[in-house]
Amino acid sequence: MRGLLLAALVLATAPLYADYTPFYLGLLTEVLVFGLFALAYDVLLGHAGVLSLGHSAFLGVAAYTTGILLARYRAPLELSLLAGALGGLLTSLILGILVLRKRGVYLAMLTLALSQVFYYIVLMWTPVTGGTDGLGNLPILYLSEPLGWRLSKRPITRYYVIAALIFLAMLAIRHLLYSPLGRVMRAVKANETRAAACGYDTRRIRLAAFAVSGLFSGLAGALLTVALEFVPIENIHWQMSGAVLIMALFGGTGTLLGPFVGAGVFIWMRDFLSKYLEYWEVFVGGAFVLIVLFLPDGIVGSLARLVGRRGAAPVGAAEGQLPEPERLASAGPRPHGGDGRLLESRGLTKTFGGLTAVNGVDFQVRAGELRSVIGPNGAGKTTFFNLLTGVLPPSGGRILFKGQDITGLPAHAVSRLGIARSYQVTNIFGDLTVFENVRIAAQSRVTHYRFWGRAESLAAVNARAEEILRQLGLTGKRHALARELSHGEQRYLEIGIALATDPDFLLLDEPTAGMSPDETQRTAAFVRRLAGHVTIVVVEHDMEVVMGISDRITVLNYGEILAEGTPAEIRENPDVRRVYLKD
Amino acid sequence: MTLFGFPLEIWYTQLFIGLVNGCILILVALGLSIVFGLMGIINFAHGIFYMLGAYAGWLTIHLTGSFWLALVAAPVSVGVIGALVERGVLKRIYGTKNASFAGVLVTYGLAIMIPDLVRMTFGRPGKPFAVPEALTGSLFRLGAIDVHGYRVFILFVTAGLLPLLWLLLNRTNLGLVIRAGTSDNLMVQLLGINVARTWTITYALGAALAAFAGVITAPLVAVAPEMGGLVLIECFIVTVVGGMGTFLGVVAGGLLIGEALALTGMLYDVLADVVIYLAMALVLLVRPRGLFGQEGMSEE
Amino acid sequence: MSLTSRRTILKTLAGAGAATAVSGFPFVNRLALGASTIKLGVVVPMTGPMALEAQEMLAATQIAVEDVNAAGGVMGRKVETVIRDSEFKPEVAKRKATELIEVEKAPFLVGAIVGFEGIAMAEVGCKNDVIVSFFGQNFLTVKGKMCKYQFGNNLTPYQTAAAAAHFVSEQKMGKRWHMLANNYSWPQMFERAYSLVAKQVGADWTGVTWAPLGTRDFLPFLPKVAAAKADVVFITTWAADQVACAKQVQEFGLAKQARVIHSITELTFAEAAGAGVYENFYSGMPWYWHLKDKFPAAKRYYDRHVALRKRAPSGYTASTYSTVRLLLETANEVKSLETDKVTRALEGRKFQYLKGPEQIRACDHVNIQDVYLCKGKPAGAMKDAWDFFDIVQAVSGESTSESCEGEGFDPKKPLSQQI
Repeated sequence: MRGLLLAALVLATAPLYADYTPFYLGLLTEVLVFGLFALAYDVLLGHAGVLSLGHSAFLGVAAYTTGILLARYRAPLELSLLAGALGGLLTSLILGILVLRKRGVYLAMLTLALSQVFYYIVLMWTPVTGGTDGLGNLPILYLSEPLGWRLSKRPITRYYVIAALIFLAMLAIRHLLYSPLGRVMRAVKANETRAAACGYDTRRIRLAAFAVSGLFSGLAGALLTVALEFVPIENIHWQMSGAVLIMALFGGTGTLLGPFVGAGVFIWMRDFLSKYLEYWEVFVGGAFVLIVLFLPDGIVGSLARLVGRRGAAPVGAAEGQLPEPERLASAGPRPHGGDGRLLESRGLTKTFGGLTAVNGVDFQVRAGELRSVIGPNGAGKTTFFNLLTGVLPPSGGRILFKGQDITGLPAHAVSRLGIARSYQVTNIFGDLTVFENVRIAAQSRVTHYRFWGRAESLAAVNARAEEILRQLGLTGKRHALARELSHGEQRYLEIGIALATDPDFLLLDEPTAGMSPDETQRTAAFVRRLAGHVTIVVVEHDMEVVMGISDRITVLNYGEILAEGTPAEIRENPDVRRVYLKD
Repeated sequence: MTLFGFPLEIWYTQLFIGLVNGCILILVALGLSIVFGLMGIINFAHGIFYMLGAYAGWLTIHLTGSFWLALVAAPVSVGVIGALVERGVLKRIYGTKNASFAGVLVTYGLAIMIPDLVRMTFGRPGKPFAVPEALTGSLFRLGAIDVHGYRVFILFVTAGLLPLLWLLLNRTNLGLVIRAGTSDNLMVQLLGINVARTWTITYALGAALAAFAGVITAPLVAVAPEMGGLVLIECFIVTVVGGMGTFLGVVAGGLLIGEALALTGMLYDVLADVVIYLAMALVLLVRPRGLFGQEGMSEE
Repeated sequence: MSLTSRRTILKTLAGAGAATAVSGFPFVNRLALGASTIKLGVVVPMTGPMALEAQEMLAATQIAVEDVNAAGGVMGRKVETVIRDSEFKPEVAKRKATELIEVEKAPFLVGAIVGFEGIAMAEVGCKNDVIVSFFGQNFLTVKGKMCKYQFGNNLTPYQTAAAAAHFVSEQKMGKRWHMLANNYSWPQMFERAYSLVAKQVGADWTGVTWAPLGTRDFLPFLPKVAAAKADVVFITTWAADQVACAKQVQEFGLAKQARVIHSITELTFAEAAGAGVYENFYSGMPWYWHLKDKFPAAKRYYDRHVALRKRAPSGYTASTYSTVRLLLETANEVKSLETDKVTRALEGRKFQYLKGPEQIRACDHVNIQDVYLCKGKPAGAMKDAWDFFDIVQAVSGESTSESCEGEGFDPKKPLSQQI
């Protein structure tokens, strides 16, 4: 709160520093507008983890929309601004829908290439856009009644109006970033596959991030037209996409203030450096490379880390002190369907080219059971899990859950139906705090897209997260970043995330992997107690654990079921002994 | 005999032009596609190496007067530059957080710096680059225009280079090492192959190919520090349409786009700019992996 | 990303830092700078594709200012140029023009090579009541809204096209005309002009083949041009596009079946294309350095330019020289820097600097001047590194300027009284 008030103060008094000169006020206004653009861009890059190189399309379409409405249709200023912002939104949705099937750099290249289409449209549609000449001849700009303030040739009024709007926009973005939706975006950036496994439709989340980014980029474009009283074609040229990337990185991604600082630095380089240094672009490019390599958090981000880390949460108790979990997971006992099969696969098959990883597996689990799945390395256990959880589409066969055919459903849909899973290789949200790891998983059962209100205010979600942390003995570490935990603690967190989604069916993939004997014992006991309330299938290598906790055991070999039965039966099974238990 | 208002002979001319231009696109896009197919990265500095190749070629001719020497000197010298970039800059990024993003960012930063460095060294205006004497002059008249020797030369070069490259990558030891080294790091390391070196070599190969395309197209276009600008986007579109990571993809994409540009120029010139982007958008919607692309190539 | 109160410190630091970085200079600017000189604001694209041409024009500006200062300056005060880089972008041109007016307090602005720079600067000049005079093609008369403080000694598109068209007609080169051009506003004005003049002289206008701006390979468009079976093909391109187009048109022997005329060219383009590329092509130019053999003033200018730049002056340098010198001399004559006074004095003014007699027409500020049609020489016939052309014919201004009525102005009143 204090930070915001201070920012407002700086904004309000800034014209003083600019000596009230129209020229410098104009520059300051530009810095603010580009700062908003960079902030909107960073919502996508720094918060949602999507690199876009096509933002010039959002800024440009908005700028031209506002410009055309003002210049040709003499529309009211407010309407033109709104239309511009919506233009940016629409463009981002179009682009988002086209590119979000891909990821990473490929997606970035697609945004770059597609944004060019808009550039060429503007270039060719000369009668409307002015082509290379840009769009000028805007009328004198006024705010509508009852204010009626004149903006043209009134640089101070214009500055204050634009600064106020940008401040409000920044507040809105900040609000959104702390909302449940904002938290989901962050989780998607931290670990997209895990977020999907928690039930979030990550493609839609990324599209939502695109939309937010596009809307506010559009607002920036509209305000830019008002600030410049002109729409140059550069606004929609791909170099503008590069410029906003530079601004975001100079300032620091993932911060609120960074983009504005980055915009200021960039414009300073552009305007003042270029007066003294003929080849100033070498400087910019070089600085950019250095920042990417050595200062990846940007100026503000690095400062934040320097200053902020000292205020970090107290590191919790030392290792080896994981307390015995007392009570068990979930809000009360589960109905044991008893007779019903909870999960079933029929003839489930998966081939990769010439290799058959899973071959015609018929598998049934009853509600309330604790089933272990064992088999030599390469038997297809993890692939089997991936098929059951919708991570991989099967090549053949069907999967039924609670009697419903879920074959081919994507991971997030499977999760929503009540299946959760932990991973063999730790797959947590490394950049998020321990608490947030569990909270975001729990949130998936309450809301995905709510963009108002703080995420922390969801009391039920918080309570569940706290409870799970308590049972796992991680309460003392709740403020630590997940990647800073010890291996054993991370494995616990693994399970915690899965539990937080309140599943009916839990798949645990080698939960004791890499644990000490002591930790293994505790984990085994924990799982055994869980089984009273959740149906569990565990993949394990530790035979003591397997024999100790399972109701039944399934043995896989070369992708097929070799044997199935109680621990005693399996121990005596000659095929199993031959293949697996060195006996 | 006319078709859509144009006499048949004009059609022949136009289709031939599309073929030749398609070959130029293939040459330019090869480096990008190979690097992507083997290393999985999109080289943002591709346009830069293209431009450096043209300048290296100009410099060679300036110093020695030999175009043929330039054809060799340009890819070799720029290949070395590419290796230096990979070793000096990209290496620091591998394995760090957001490695692929950082790769894009760093090469983008280079793409801003290097043209200005070229301006500092060679001056702002472009350099004239003449067609070599031996290849000037028209070979025959096709329809409305003389077919210039140099364009036919490019046809032959493309036709010759593609199988050579394929052989290099698929039938030689070096090629085997490159393909293995860029696909499965751990295994290859255990076999004693220097993985770091194969990545450097592969990247340098991509740079050399871009440079070769730059020097060979220099007589046709203006040699200027800005010439790499749109090249990256065009190559990317060619590979998106044709399919990333396969030879057939580059060839198909290049020829298709070349013909599309030629025919649009004739029939509906207003669209000439946008047609490649429309083609790309269409491919993305209908067949996202491209005409001959491998599945799953473009996933992160 | 945590919301601790540490951020307060950050915001203070960063906010102050940003404010200082952006605005540190006003405090510096309060220092008075040489009040006894008159500032001439110059905005040219020093970086970007026109960098070389911009340097040429800066040299011409310098020579013109030296001439004016040597003759006593303006009202006894020396003229000082304050130069800014427009980076070939209209919004930068606008910003720099604004800076020159508001911060440097320049009473006059000159510069701009390309249309969009000119439009941007004109807008700024008009809003601030400052005279803006352009180095590049003067096409603001056709643009709709024109500002009464706009000037520029260079040719309009109509003048350029009409000169080429009249040349073709007088030399009896043929009656079927076609144009190959980049598709944006400037060549579109040429389309209008050529079709109008074609009607006047009874030629058959077959239309235009458009190529996108930034085309590197014009080859795909040439068959369509050839299909038009024109006697004369006018090519309206500029800079890198012209260089590429010329190379390819030469390569494919278009000149074998039609006369090829570049509507306008510059010496620097011929240099970039290389010797022999412009062979047998005709081109229009406002001035060519061979005129040094015809006009003593041109020779003096040629010598000084070569001494300064170590190269022959390009065509636009003459327009630049005359633009700057005319503006400053006129201000000196009316003993005033007041925009209205100087504007009225410029309207209708006659002068002669580096070529034949010229006049600024009062009703539209167009400079009535001769246009030179030249022919490209073979590589072997070049006597030095810049000897690309021979002058074939000078086309007079009267015959080639569009009437004020045609442009939409009242021919009987000066522009400053019309808008």
